[in-house]
Amino acid sequence: MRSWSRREISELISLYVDGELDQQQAKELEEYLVNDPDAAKELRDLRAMKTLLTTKKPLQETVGFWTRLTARLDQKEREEENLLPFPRKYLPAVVSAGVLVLAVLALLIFQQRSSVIDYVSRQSERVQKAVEENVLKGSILPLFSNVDKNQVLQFALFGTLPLDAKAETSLRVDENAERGYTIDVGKKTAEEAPPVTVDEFVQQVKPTRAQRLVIDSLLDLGRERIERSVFVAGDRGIAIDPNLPQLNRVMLSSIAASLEPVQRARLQKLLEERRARYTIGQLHGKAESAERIYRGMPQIRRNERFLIVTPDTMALTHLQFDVDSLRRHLRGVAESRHQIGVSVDGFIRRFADREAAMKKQFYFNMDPIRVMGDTDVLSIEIGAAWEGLQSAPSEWMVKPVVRGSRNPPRPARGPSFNLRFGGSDSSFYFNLDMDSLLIRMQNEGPEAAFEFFKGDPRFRDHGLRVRIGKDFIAMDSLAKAGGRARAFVDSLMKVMQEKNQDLREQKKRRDDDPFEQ
Amino acid sequence: MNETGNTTKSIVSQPRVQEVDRALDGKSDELLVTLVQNGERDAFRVLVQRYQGRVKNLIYSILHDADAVDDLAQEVFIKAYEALPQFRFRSSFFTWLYRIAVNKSRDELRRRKIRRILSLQALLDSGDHELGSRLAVEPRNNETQELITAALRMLPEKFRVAVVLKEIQGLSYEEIADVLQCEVGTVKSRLFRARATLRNILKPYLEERS
Repeated sequence: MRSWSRREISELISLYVDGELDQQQAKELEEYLVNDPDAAKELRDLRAMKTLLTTKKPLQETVGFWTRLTARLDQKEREEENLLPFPRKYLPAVVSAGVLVLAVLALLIFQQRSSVIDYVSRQSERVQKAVEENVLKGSILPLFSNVDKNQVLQFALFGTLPLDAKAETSLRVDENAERGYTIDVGKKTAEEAPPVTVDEFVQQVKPTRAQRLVIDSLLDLGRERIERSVFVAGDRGIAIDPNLPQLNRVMLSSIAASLEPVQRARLQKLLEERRARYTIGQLHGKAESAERIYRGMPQIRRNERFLIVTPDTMALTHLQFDVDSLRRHLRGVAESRHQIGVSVDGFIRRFADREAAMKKQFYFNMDPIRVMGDTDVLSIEIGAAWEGLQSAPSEWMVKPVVRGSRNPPRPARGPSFNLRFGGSDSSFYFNLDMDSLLIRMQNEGPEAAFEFFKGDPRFRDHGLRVRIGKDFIAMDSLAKAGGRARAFVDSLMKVMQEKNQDLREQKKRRDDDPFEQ
Repeated sequence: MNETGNTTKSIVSQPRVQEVDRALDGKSDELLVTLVQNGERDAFRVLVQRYQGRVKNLIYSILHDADAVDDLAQEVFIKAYEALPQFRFRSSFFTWLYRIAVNKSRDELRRRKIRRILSLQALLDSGDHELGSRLAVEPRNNETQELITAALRMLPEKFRVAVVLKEIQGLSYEEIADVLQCEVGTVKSRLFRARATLRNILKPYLEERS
């Protein structure tokens, strides 16, 4: 039998458990092990360790990995390639307007539907013209610039933010077990909670100085987040971060977490008195550390996904807003707020006034997100299970109050046209309701709706998954499509044309006989 | 017609994305890499789907921070996507990808070491000596998992990476050498030393077991 040093034996055993010894070496080692109990034990230990390590649980799969990855890749590519071919002489102006231009263009796609093809083929001209005419200046503005801490506290406690000085119009967020999250923009409802100022809060809850500092910082973080969550483009469109409703609960949770039990009970009393939508779930337990609370606040990312709503359609897309440069366009705060309030009112009316839909309430159907409106309120519902929502804290300090349904019952869904890109772990939603296409066809003929798909650059390299009623139909990018796809779209257009005709006739009948229901 | 599937078949009963994925699913890494190099992002999606689980687990086994895994895995794939045009098939795609993941994880570990030194000072200044333990990663319920995690954490980084690649990822010595850009002899030596250290750490467990 060969003789080895202790180290050599250990090395051989390590190779042996990995099956890396040849037959001869393995046989020699096995013979050796019979007479060396320590080495035999070492082999058993190594095998046990191997078994132990192979039982290591794999991580759970995360959803949306590919979606986020493609978004980041797209962003990087955009940054690198500078897709907008600006003429050099406009470069300084374009650079200063940079992000703003992109945002405006995103809205223009949906706003100026007749110009979609035009946009693709002549985007440089469009940008050039936009810069020349200075139309961008002031055309997109943050809805909540310069909100004060009282208003941020109001949002944290009750989920409401006034749009104008008279507080007749406001933004409200809400969470509802049945519908998920909602964002309402419009006229104030009677049951809205009366405002609470920071002073009142301090008097009632009695936080210590250190706690006040934490809460003050939270309000600052919240204010910044709110400012970056809603943007308006005159009365033409509104862009909202769909994660905004969660901020309400996160902020209230964070404030509650910074308090000791006795103070938490006082806050609970305040919430009950003012009929807040959340109640504190954990009245006991010590106050959390400031670090932990700050870590729980949602981070502001550079490339947020926004929901863009125009009077005709809705889209969900990544947008970057340079808030600092937008803020510079605000002149007097009060004047701007008033102007923005007027714009939002105008937008809500335009949203409600679409001719082709003929009803007071309209629906943009998309599984996780739905937009509807009337002359007073624009309402966005976001399913609680929607993958685009930022991950919530594992334990909420507050929970929604269970009351009777605050919102009126939802009318039946209208016909819709849902598009979804992506694979099993990724999805990009794009929605056009039938109405949008009908308006387009009414104004511009059936070809226009088809051109819309073809013209949007995002449709070019993606498969389309189209849902009409209960049926899903997948097709290649229409830009590449020919033959059967074209025939399919043509037949689709015919169906929509017929539908359009029906709607026209209905409208005519109603116009002729206003008493007909 | 290209390798991404039947692009002229325009109407299908299943979503096209799934169809493309199915068409590409059986393709070798090399072919998919070539397609990506020719601008087919669909092929990259299949590669991501194929390897994201393994990459995430590799990162997790090295860092032991579940919160950081997703972001770091994203960075790994972004880096891979950017570097793929220069990929010359001198090694297999997955060992190359693992190399990126290992390097990213090491960078992160280094970064954290620096941060730990800085935050330690802040901790001492603030007098909050419990902070570290309160911010620690939440304990796992499963004792065995805790044991493995704790044991791996105690290993020096070089040894830990070798053990993870061998025992958890199931790579051969040659593949590990390729990932770590070292000789096979070095891999053998690291594994041997890692096991000796691990055996020492796990002594109570192994004795109880025997």
